[in-house]
Amino acid sequence: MNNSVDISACKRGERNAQQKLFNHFAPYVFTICRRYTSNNENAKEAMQDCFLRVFNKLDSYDVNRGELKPWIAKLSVNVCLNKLRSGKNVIPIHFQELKDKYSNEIFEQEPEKNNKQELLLNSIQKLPTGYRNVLNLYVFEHKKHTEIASLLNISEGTSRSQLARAKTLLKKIIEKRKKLNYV
Amino acid sequence: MSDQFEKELFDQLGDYDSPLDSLKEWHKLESQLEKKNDRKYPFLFPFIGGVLIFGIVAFSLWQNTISLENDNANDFVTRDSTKPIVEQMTTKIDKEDVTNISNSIAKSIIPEVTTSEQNKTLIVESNATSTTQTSLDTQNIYFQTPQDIAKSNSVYNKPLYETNATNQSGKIDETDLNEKQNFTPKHTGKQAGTKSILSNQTRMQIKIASLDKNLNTFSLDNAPAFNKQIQFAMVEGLVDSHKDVIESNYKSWQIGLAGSFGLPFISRTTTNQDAIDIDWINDYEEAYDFSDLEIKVYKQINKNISVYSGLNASLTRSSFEYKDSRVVSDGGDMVVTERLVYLDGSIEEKKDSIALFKEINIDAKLWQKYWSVNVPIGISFHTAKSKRFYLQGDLGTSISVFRRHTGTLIRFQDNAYNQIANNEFKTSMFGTLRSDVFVGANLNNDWDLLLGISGAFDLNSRLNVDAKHSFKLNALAARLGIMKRF
Repeated sequence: MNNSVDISACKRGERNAQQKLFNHFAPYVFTICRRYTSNNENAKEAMQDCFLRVFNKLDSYDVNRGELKPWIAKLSVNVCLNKLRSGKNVIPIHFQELKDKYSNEIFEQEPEKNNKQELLLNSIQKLPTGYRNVLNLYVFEHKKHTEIASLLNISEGTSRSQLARAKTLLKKIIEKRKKLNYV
Repeated sequence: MSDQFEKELFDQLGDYDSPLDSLKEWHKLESQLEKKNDRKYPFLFPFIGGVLIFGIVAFSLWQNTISLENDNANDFVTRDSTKPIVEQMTTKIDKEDVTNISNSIAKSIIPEVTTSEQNKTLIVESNATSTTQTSLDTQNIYFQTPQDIAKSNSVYNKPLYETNATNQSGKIDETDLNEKQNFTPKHTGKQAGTKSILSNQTRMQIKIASLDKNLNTFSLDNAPAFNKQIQFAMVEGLVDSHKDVIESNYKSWQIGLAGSFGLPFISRTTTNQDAIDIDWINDYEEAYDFSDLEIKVYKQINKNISVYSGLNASLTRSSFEYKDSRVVSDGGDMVVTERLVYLDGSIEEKKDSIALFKEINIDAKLWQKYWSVNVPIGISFHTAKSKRFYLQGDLGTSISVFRRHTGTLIRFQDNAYNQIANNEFKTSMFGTLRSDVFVGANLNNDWDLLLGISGAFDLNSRLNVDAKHSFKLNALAARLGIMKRF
């Protein structure tokens, strides 16, 4: 894949090369961001941050140490997690209170019919943030519960129980969607 | 992955490319990449400050040799009006005033001249960087014995210019003199050996013809031969020799009151070295303004350097805008998430909500104010403060002795922001690197007006959230103030 992207030119900041890299990986990174966020708009914002970070960190990428795609995927996951963390850390408890009090209309984005991947992605987005993070790290990043506990600053037991709950809820959501003939 | 469901998820989504309008998203990213390049400017401030301070120091050193290009070159002596030389020097010198100027020089030298100097020669050394009349800077005027002259001439190898009263007429041929003043030095510092400092110098030797201390006059036998260039050179040299005295008599304590108003720049970083590669990303934080009020007391330790301390009160305002959408439970449908079967046959079911389709939108702002009272201490580099205008650069640090960080939480609802809560955050003692560069204007003998720019760069975090995260507020501000001498 790296053959189609001129990494050296990207490192030099050449826009054409950067655009080529973006076009190549954006759909994949967008999928990652969708998995970690609750809607596609947030996912697009996160994707922008991911690529800013990719271009910023590209100098540290060593071709000999592996493919570009997993490197970008790892960076993207980190950016998504940090983005979630930043909201929690900067505004400690007050926004949580606000979140609990605040309610708006139900946001339901209709997934593309007859597309299993879109159904799954949209269903994952409907999971609570904590469940979603654990599920993503365990299933897609192949992290162990001890690692997840460290990353998310939760206990290992919580990680296990959240994964179990996430899967149960995800199945329910998918079943519900199927009943509504989305797939 | 331990079960089929997880495997199916990974197979379906592990390498899935979502449909995306790549061109549209690229244009958005491209604009952010441009912005990111523009963000470099906060890091230029320390560099600019350093360059300015270096410039001031260099200017101060250079000012020791006064440029004749400035018609007000003598202004810096106007403060010491008790000395005759001052009054004389403030008059504009004209070519026709040759004799008067010579007498002026004579009067000013008189106190330093004894009868023994009658046999010595007055030496005028000057930097002859150009042959134009207005570019000659005198370095020194002093007396030398014939033996000393012989020594110094050996350094120069050949005197560039020499005259004394022993020539035939007792007068100098003016034409000859002018020609020699236009002489470009041939002897470089290297050729001159150990006296490299004398490179590019021309020197003039004038023998004192007579001295009458009672009449407070003496005459230089070649005085009529002075042209304007040499007059200036001599006058400047004399002023130069008196300058230290004048400066040393000057008031050395000053108290300044100044206010700044400008732009803050928020810097958040993290030292978290967890397994993941953390980078603090915060798209919604915005800094509004920075202002401070400062009292500084300066003690001048020489004509170009002072030290200071005082008290500084500063206020920085910023906001954190938080926008998010999250799914929350509405407490509706409950489903069994865990089933426990006990030995007695009883079954316990644990339930959880599945009403997870409710998306809430959050739009809130935290308006923050950071107050602090700081004690600054530092060093100040300045040009001669006795001049009408002077440049000054203050470089130092300040330590916060009082801090208050408050935030007002605002929620956007019904097209209006509503106040939700007031918060007070934990603060941490912080140090700030301060750099002020300004122009001072003498309003009168006691008061100066100050106008310039001020930069503040936090050295450590202002927040006491945890050890991992750093929150610094840097600022660049315009500065206005007054200073009193005492």
